[in-house]
Formats: sequence, structure tokens, C-alpha cells
Amino acid sequence: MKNDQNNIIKKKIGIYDLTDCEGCELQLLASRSKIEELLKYFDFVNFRLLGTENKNYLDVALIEGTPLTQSDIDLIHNVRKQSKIVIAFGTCAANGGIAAGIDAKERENFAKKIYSTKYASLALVKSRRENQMQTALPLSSYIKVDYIISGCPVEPNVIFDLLMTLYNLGSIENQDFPVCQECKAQGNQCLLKNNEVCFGPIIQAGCGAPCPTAGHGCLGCLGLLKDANIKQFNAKLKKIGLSDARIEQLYNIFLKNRKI
Amino acid sequence: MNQLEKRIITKIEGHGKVNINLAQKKAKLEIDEGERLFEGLVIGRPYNDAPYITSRICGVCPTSHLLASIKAIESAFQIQPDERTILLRRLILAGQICQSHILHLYFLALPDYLKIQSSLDMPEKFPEQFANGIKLKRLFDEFIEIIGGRAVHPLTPTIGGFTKLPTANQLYILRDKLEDNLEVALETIKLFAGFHYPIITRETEMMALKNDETYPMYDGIVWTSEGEGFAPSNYQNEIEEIVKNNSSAKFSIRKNKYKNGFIVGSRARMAMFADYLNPKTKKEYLASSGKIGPANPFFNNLAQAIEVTHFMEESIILIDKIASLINENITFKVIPKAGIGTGAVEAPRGILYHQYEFDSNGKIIRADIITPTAQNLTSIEDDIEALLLHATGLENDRIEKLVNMLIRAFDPCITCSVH
Repeated sequence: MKNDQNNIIKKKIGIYDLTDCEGCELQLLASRSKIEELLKYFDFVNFRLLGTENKNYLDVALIEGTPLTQSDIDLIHNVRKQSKIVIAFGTCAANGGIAAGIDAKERENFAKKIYSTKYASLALVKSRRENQMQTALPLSSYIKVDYIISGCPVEPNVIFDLLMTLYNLGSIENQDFPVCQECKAQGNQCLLKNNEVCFGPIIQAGCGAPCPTAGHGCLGCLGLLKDANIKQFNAKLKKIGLSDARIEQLYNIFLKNRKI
Repeated sequence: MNQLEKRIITKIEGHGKVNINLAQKKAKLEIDEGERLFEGLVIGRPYNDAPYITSRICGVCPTSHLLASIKAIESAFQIQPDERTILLRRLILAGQICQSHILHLYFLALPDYLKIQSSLDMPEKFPEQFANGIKLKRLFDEFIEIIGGRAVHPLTPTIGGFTKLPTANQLYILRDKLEDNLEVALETIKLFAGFHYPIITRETEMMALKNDETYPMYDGIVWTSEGEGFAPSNYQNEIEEIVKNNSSAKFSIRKNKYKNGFIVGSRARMAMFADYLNPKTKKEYLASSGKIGPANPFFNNLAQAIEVTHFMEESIILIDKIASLINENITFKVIPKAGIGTGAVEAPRGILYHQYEFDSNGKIIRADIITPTAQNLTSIEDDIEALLLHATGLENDRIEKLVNMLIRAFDPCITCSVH
């Protein structure tokens, strides 16, 4: 830890990306993340995208992406060992994300089709525990995760609020209310009432409801609300004309690993 | 030591290594990003899932993927969007190119030329450049947010139109901000024109979209520096993708007797279509050209800086056309058809192709995506080898640094190249 002129004790933070699109870490440069402010309290000692690397102690590690390759999995075990707090950063880290839409068997078949029958896929890793091929799993299937910032992508103001709360208090409490609450606050018309698909009622809020605000139904990138009434929600989707297969397909965009 | 083994390349989007044999002057890129298999993820899904899912290939250029995907679907179903939709798409694509270029120029490439390790050292050592970079990055984030509903993974562009339109007032505010920041962006050109670049040249084939009216961007035929063109839908007959050992990205080559690599992106667009640059940009382009030309891969950095102001000027022109067209949003009815559709746009790093095959219900039965970086990979290797030929007598550390700078000059998006 080092002191700057204002005697603020800076915490060491590391940003890691596994298999993913890197959209979440880019949100750190968005205005609502206030990186200039964060730089006063945190030393970004590891941020591969921006060129810093460090293998020593970290106060906080933000891990983005889904652990799909052996080097992803090796990396997160090391990061866990060196970090006091590990945050699953973005939907891919929180629950496997978009890559989890296909299971291990489909993964194997598609890899052969897309590359070649001889191609050895990097993203087909045998789990040590079950000795079988794995699909994209949440970070928490491999290591202990202290906090989750979900979202595809994560909302920048959430990054700032969470990091500053951690800095000041050392811990955070999760809030539990649905996207609908934030959507209503934006003054939107309810898409679901208009018979359009929107997962808002069963999804954890925190994003500010940008999707319904832009006329696009929520697909659940922040994860299921605790105690969500899924049965009732699925019945509503059926009522607006969706088949069971289509409902499953929609869950599989972000919530394939929901039962784990 | 004649070997620089498996050096990790930092400050690029995604994970890759480079293997260098100094004695033989050979270079090999090893792309080791995990395969998410997007071309498999969309199979069996209805057509309208494709733009939402495939745009998540990349957090740096999601808008480009979104539009290429939408265009592919529209081409399969023979949907012709209205003028307002096309103008708005051109506008958001202009914002996307600027947003990505600024990230690369200020946060990934600039540290090489300022001789610092990371852009995170900039606030302390180069506060003015850091402030300019952040200012422009946020301007273009806001740009995408106004038109697309969100800065990363935008939401509003859809098949046949937009789910929500910006208000005329929002567009005018954006227009003012673009005008206010044009000077800072012109400074970026001067900044990148002022650096000393390694002198290496290697002639290579180039490709960009040609539409005979504007600088390459949203539509047109694929034009090559050999003076030939082909329809984007014909790309599979013109471009071959090679599956390599030790690389999760395929490498593109031309499907002709030469089997040569080629380049796409800012350098290719500017080499062939600089005539179409907007006035203020063109002036700056002419003032800076001559120092370094398109045959030098490092020219790409300068070309990106020049494109930023070009697309800012273009956005102002587009907003003037669009603002009077903002009225009621029109909902669009899509009637699926069996068939194949191809969509191509100029993504920040070059031509991006999406192709889907649908059954009669509009269900996706085949998908193929070729990203700009996948097209550039063969040329990146060739250019590293050209650099190694020039670099005799240099220390290994220096060579490694130059190789890294060269790779970064291409602004490769490894995440995209693997998908």
C-alpha cells in the first residue's frame, strides 16, 4: 500500500478477463464509473488490457468472463489465493453467461463443425471432480466468490458504488428487488402487459432497466431474483403464446446455469 | 538466444501469444482465447435471437456485430429498411468506429509512443493526453447511448428499424458536443502524426467496402487494391479460413492461386478511399501524409486518428439529415423466408461478415461469421517477419517490444477473431 499526498491508503485492485467479450472491463472507462475518482482509492496493479501485471497480494480482484479454458481455470485459482476479496464481474463470471447456452456435448459437436474434426478445442475442459467435459460454468463452481456484480454489460455506476462501499465499509449487503421496480421508475409502459417477452418480474434489479427503456424486453442478465415466482411467470409467457421449448431457449440466453 | 518463446501480448483485446524465431526470421501467432462457439449458439433459434446473441461476440465493437447480423437477416428475408433507418444506422456505426478507435489510440497504443507501460500511468505522467482520451471515450460512449440505448451492447437497432428513436433534441445536443470536441480530435491526428514510427514496408492486398458516394462504412461491394470487386454475399468464394494447430482463431487467406494474406481496416480504407474524407479531416490528412504511408503497418494508428474526425464530421452531416425525420416510431412486421442472407459492414477493424441460413419458419440452421481481425491475422504474421528482417542487430528486448507495438498497431480484437 502506498500513500499519496492526501494520505489516502490505496487498496490494490486487479482486473482479470477470462473467456468473454471484455465489454464489462471497458465499462470501467465509462463516465459513471468515475475512474479518476477510483484511482484515488485504488491502485490498479493488474489490468492486462491496459498493460499492468502483478502477481502479489490484492485487496480486491474483479474477474470478468467465464472460465472455459484450462488457463482460465488455473488463473482464477491463483487469483483466489492472492486476493482478499474476489468479485465475479459481469454475467459471464456470475453464471456462465452467453457461452453457457450450449452444453458440453453440443460444445464438442459444434467445435468439430465450426473448426474441423481434428481440431482440439481449448474450451473443453474436464472437471477434476466429475471427470467429464464442462460447459461454461459460473466462477463460483471453481472458486469461492465473495461478491457478484452481474450484467451484460455491468452498469458503470454499480462498479463505482460497490468498490467505494467496499473501500469504506469492507463489505456490502445485497439488495433484492425486481427489474420492474427500476423500470417503473423510468416511466416505461410494461412490455409484458403488452404481451411482449420481458423477464423483468423475476430478475434482480440494479441495472436501471436500460433494456425495457430502449423498447427491448429484459432477458435476465443480472440473474434470478431470490424467491422469484418462476412458475407464475412461465404461465404468463405461455399465455402470451410461447411454447415450452421457446421459454427454455429464452432462459438459456443468460440463465442456463440457474439450477446450479 | 535465437528464440523468443510464447510471449504474451498485452494491451490488445483478448488473449494471444507470439512465438519468434530470430535466426529464421519466422513468427507464429498463437491465439488462445477460449471458443464461445457463437456460430453454434444461434443454431435452432429464431432469427431475431441472432443480433442480440452475436453482438456479444465483442464488447469493443458490439454495434458492428449487431448491424451486420441485422443486415444478414434483412437480406435473407428481402427487407428494405427506410431511409431514416439507414441514416440512423450509419450514424451509430460512425459512433462505434470512433468509440473503438479512441479506446485503442489513447489507452492501448499511446503508451508505446509515450514510452510508458500502461495508460494507467497517464494521469500522473501525461495528464493532458489522459484527459483528452477520457473526454473523447466518454463522448462516444454517450453517442452510442443516445442512439442505441446503452454504450456497450446497444439495444435499439432491430430488423427493419429501431425499437426506440432518439429525440431531435438529443440529436442536436449530440451534434453540439461533436462540434465542441472536433478540435480535441484534430489534435489527436497531430499527436499521432508527430511520432516516429519504425520504417517497415510490405505491399499487401487490401479490402474495403466501396459505395461510390461515401468513405467505406455501412454498405457497398468489397473492393480490393488489385482493382477488383465482389459482392459481400460471395465472400466464401473469395476468402478462405484456415484452421491451425495452436490457434483458436482461424486465419484468412485469399481463395485464389496465390493464397495470400490481405488486410482490412483503417489502413485499407484510407489507402483506397481517402478521396472521400470530409473537408476538415482531409486537410489534416494531407498535412500529415507523406510522413508515413499505408504500406507501413504502423500507419494504421494515424489512419484511425484521421478516421475519428472524419466520422465526427460525417455524424454532424447525418444528424442534420435525420433530425427532421424523427417522428412516430414505425413498428415493422417481419415475414421470415427460407434462404441465406449475408450482412457486411465496416467494423472499426475492417469488413465484418455475418451469414445465416434460415428454414421457412425463420429458424437458424447455419451461421458463419468472419471478423476483421481473423482476416488480418495472416498479414500480422507476415508483417512481423518483415519487421524481423529489418531488425537485425537489435537487442532481443527491443525486438520483442517492436513486435508487440506492431501487433498493437493492427488493433487486433482477439475476442472477435475467435468468437
